[in-house]
Amino acid sequence: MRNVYVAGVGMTRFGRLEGMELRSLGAEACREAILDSGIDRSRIESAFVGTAFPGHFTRQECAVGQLVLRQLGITGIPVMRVENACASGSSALREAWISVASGLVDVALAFGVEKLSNVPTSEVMSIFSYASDYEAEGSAGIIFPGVFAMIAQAYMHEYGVRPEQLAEVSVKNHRHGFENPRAQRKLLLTVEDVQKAKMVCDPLTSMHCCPISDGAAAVVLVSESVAREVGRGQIRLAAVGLATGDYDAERPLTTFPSTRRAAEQAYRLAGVGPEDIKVAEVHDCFSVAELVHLEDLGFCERGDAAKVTSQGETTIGGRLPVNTSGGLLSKGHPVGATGIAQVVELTEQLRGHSGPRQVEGANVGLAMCMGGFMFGDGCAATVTILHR
Amino acid sequence: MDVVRIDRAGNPFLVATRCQDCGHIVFPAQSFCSRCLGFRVTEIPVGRKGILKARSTAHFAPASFDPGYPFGYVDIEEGYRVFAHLEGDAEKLKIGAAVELTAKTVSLGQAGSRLIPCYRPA
Repeated sequence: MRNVYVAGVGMTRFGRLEGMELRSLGAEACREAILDSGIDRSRIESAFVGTAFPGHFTRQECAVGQLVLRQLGITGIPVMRVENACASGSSALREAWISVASGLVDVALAFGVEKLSNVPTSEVMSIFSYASDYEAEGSAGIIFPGVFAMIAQAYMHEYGVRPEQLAEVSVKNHRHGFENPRAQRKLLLTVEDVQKAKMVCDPLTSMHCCPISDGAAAVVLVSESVAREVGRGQIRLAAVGLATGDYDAERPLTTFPSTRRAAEQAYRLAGVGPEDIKVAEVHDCFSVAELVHLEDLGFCERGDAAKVTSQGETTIGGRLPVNTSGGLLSKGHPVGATGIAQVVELTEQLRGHSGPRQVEGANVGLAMCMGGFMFGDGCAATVTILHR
Repeated sequence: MDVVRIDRAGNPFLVATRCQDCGHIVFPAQSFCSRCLGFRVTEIPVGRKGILKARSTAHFAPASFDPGYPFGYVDIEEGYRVFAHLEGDAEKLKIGAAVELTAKTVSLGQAGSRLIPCYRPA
């Protein structure tokens, strides 16, 4: 395995972006990442696109990568789509990382893109349920806020946590996102605001749930020789772990074997542990998800994440700031773009370019993403570690 | 693929398969055994009883469902976790409650209708 470096990053604003279609979102993010890298686009040897539901939302089911890259004059190279539900982007990143780490190529592009806002919410819920076992669960009316509402109920029951404590995750992430010009839901919320919002699936109100978003994000990865040549050897992509879940009933609902496995892989490959991480982007699709993932990533003991959050440890300025971008809750969640956007945030943090959201001394960052859910566990979990 | 069926006595069951060679039970049903990979599998009824692991209510509903349905994860006796609707006295549908299978018919519009798992207090 060779060392791999993040040479360039780019992303669009996230939100309900009227007039911005799949192709233009993807192209603008890639354009920014290429310009940021300082590398001529003719040197990109391979590209991977993470997108989950392009056909259901835009009819462009196939060839999204080729369509986007044609706008940048990038043709002829291998281009491949990667689908892993909400972890599609981070899974595409993993393929690009493997391509460079293996020695097959010296420059690879990974991007994620999704356009969701042109479909009514009830239809969005139905389409998202395709990321379950559709025959057994989706067609019976499973919805993602419902899955995480059950996890929240189990979490509160097991650890004696109150809904207001879950709400603190959303308050924190919105406070972080308020300072992010690319965030979708820029709101300064109180716990009361979160609790008084419209109920989706008890105990989760709409402010415990990420919004429906459009957006794209991209990264250019390079080998050590290219990184030296262009002066972009500062940020190393140390590892991307990817794991799937356990689908039997013999375990609590308050831990995800998929997250734990992806974390073990990434920590081992990167040669670091949870204690080394200075800033993290964690898949907060719903408030409770951040708490469970924090425990499964080894950042605190099981059952302690709500307390750790209340004490401010995961706020900017705390021991381990989590979701400095605003996370999925505030920044937004254009499904396939999310895993790459997390890496954009970490890269900017490690470069020291995060302005009012900057974490002092950030030298190792971790991003965690989860996609799909079957029989009580995630279908795909990724853990990415960046090192300055 | 049927997830739920009704037997001749009118009782609902979830459709699983059991391997005739190694005895392993798989839900949902499949054409061969996931443990020994043998093709000698027989459909069997499962999931008539279970334990409620968690519950909530869908105040927003996906297309083809009306908002307001209660649902939960039920761990069935045969060792699988099933997403199901719930019916009956909410007071008796607490985490850890024993539940039994009923079935519910859902209209899928032009695609017809289908039976889905539903549980009530045992």
